[in-house]
Amino acid sequence: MKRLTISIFLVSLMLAPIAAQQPPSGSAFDWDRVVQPESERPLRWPVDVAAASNNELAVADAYEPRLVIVAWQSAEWTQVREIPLDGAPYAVAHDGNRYAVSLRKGAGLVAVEGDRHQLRRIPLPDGFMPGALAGVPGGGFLVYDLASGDVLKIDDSGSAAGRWPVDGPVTGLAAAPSGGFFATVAQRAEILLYGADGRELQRLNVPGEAPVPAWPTGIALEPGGNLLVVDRHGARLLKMDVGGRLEGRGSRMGWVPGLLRFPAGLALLPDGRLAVADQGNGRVQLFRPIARDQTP
Amino acid sequence: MKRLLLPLLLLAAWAPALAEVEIDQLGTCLVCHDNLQDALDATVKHDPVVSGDCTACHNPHVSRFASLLLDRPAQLCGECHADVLDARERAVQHEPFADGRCVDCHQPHGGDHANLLAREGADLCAGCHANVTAWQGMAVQHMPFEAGDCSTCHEPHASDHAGLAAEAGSTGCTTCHDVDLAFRSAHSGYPVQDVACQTCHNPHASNEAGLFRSARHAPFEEGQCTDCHALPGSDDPFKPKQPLQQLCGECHAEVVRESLDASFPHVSGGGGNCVTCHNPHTADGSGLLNEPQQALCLNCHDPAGSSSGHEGRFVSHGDGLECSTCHAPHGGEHPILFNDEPNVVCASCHSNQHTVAHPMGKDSADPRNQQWMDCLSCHGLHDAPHPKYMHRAPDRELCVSCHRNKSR
Repeated sequence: MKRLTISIFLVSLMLAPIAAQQPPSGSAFDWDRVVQPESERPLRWPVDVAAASNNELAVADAYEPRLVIVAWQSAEWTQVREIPLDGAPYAVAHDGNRYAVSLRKGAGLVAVEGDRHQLRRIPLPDGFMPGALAGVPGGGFLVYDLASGDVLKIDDSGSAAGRWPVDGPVTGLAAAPSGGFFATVAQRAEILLYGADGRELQRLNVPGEAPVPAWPTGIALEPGGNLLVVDRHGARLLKMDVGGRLEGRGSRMGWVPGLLRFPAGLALLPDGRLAVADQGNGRVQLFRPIARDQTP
Repeated sequence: MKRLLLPLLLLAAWAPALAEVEIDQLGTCLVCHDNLQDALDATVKHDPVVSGDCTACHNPHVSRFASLLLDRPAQLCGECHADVLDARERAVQHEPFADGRCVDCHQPHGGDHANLLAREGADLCAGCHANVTAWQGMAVQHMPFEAGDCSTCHEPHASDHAGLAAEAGSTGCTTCHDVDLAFRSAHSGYPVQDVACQTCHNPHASNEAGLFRSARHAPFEEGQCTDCHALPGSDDPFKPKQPLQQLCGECHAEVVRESLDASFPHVSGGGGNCVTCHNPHTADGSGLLNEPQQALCLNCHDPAGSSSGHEGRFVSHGDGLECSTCHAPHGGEHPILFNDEPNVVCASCHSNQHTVAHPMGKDSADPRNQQWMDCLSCHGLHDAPHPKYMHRAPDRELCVSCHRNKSR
């Protein structure tokens, strides 16, 4: 009996460090799976992710700049296409019809359209430097201009449909149902809500976890109205209500599946799952936000 | 009868305690605490000491607080000095005051300095604020600083303004410095009295005439204010003539381009807001940075750490290293603004490590995330809980996080 007790004690000691790496319990997000398709050139520096459907994601990879299209086929995520880009991607979004990718090095904004994922340049005003992006449900995109600090609305035809100054610098965008938009400002750990007329309506604080201040770099809006935020420096996912109240959090810094290192962007799938560009781990991970009454 | 007897007996037992007893408190305490004699001989004495009322602050028998105090220090002092305690409502608090460490600055019994201060003026402040000693060695000194009178400009306990300034921005400066013709002329007619003087002048000391900071932007030094600003008499004289990235780019085209083109832009650099980090007029140190580099970066990246000194996240790697030793401050071609691949960056200092150790690089996949093994797979970048900045205890815990079969 004594031997058995000692053995159990020793085994539990050995397993402790492994257990310590497991995704945290009591999370507001259930971990679903890693999206890291086998490839000769696997994902390395994903900077953002967008969802066309529950079965197709586009991952913007700044390493050998490219857009990687992955699809859910035969019960696994498979790389179906790799689209070389002219500059390192900054962000990617989907508006229900097409992807848009904002590019660095003066390469502008490109749309990725159709079954063959063909590239088409979207014209931008002179001097415009596209940064954060969001798809507008029904068609069109919101694009943040790193040069002027404005958000430009592009309609379904690719024409400018509005331009508003924003108190940035903005790191993430999400369209609001009112016709306005949410913007994350990492430097101040804030979420700003702007109305359809470009007026600032609300300013929410993104809570950090001492000693690491929150650094929100991506935002999505759940159909139920909650905000889902990725905190890059805190390696966390946050769920907040539109009044700024923290509803729950998920994940933490780490290497193993379920944990994040310098996550950069996120996308909400139609089925409610959240795709997160886990930049430091060179992969995308899927999480499922837990409804409030299910949150432990 | 029995019922009456018990209370009477108790009363009788307490009777001596209820009687007023005259005790020479100070004399009694001095029997053992003879070191208090110095305080009694000091020029400035705390009122309870003068009246020999040791029990005003101490319980002679027991206490839950150090030094047998009647209460926590701040609460105890606040019973008489309530006006000082009111300062706790103010926005910016001196750390010892916020922590209730009154005796960091004050002698509780007696001393030779006004307000029972432990040392005179600037010497007291220099005990914690190492800059004070450096400023004291500089050629040009601001008069109140030279006189050691820090409280001319600073509130010692709390203030509503940054740096515990007694007044906002330049308001404190214009109390002594008249905004007259000479003042306007010296500032080329720009209404600088409406902005913070310390952006160009060091309010303590400098090696430069006029208390200027040591490095100066060329147009500023040449008095070419209108190279960047509107005319002094205009409605908004300080407004830059162009958006900053264009204005700065006229001379610093390469840096601005580097910032705008970087695959991984710095959030402020990518947005072209140069003044987030740089002072366009004068600064101490190279690069016209608003603050020494580490403090500057920590303002955004670790504000909790920077305000509390050494309790934040990014504090300890390499004494004297600048953030830019490893990171590209204007943006770079690698994640987290690394100057290069992590192994290359680390090897620029740690050249002898890992030449024969754990496999790393493209051909060694980290089993946890299938990425290239690099120094950061095992070591923290800035700080970590284990020796050599290891993420986990290096004897076993670290290794089994990947080599799980070795735990059996």
